[in-house]
Amino acid sequence: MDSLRLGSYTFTSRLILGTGKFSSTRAMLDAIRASGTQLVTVALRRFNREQAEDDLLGPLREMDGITLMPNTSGAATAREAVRAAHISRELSGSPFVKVEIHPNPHHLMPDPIETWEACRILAGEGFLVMPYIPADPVLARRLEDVGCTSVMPLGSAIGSGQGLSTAEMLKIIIRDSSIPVIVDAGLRSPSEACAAMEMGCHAVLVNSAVAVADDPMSMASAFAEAVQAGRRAWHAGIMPRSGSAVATSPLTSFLGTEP
Amino acid sequence: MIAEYRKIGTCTGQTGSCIFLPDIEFFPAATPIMNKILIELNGERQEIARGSSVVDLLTITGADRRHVAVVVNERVVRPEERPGLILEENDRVDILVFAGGG
Repeated sequence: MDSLRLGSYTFTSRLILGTGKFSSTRAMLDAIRASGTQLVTVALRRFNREQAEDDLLGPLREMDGITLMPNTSGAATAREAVRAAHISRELSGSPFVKVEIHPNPHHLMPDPIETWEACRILAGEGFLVMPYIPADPVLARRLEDVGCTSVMPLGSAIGSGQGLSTAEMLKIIIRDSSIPVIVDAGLRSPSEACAAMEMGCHAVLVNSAVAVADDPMSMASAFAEAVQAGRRAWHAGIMPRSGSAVATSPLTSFLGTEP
Repeated sequence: MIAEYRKIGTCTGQTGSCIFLPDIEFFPAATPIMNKILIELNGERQEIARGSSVVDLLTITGADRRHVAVVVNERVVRPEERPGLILEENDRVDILVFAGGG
């Protein structure tokens, strides 16, 4: 079976879903079900009794087969990310942590230095560390070396829908990595998720493209199919690209010019 | 600071014959003991009853009906520790939930 292995966990779905920006908890749960995902991200936030919908742990625990991957969004430093990871592990019981350190809200680019430091500490404490990073092959290798479970390079800026603008660097990271490479951020449509899988990515993480779609449940299902199609295509061996035409039909004449 | 005193007995008018039970005790050169203390809850000042436990705090904030993590002075407080942990003046408490995020 072509499963995704992350630490001691095995997943049959290669689509990871984020839980942000949905119009309601109901819409989020419906999308999760429709996507077939088995791994979802959540964020840690201060309790506010006026925002009851913020508490997702109860509803998510009631779903079968869902593993939580808390992120450290809101952290600006390694220290804050490590603290968030400790609290999240206590609350969720999950060993996964998505290390997400992006202090600038305009571009939300991950801080590579703080990310590396947080990953080094958390991997040493036994977390299954999944860092959100720029598509930087050098950084990806450094994170693999300190014990990360995967690397999650961005396709483009979070929520931008700019797609796989980092495609060429992603290919290099995939070629050089011994751990799963999961494209995270910027994917806008299922065809882009399919393209990422055709490139050799091991999984994709999608949030805005599903949550903000007109019909999130249907979009989640479309993404699931696209990820499966891309993975199957990658396994099937995609034909090479050529600089010129290569005929598919014989070019010998069958209607002679003689009478 | 003025301490209020409550008379519980009769007063004969002679010094020493009246019994006063103070509402608050006032010790010179020491902080007055109040029934309330001030803590920091989720970044804001919050007054709670002296002797409140973490469980009491969760109840009065409505967080007892949610799945929450509790951090007191940078230390995660497990559910089994919460009934026995009594909050003190100036404790920094964070109550956290999992919200949507990518």
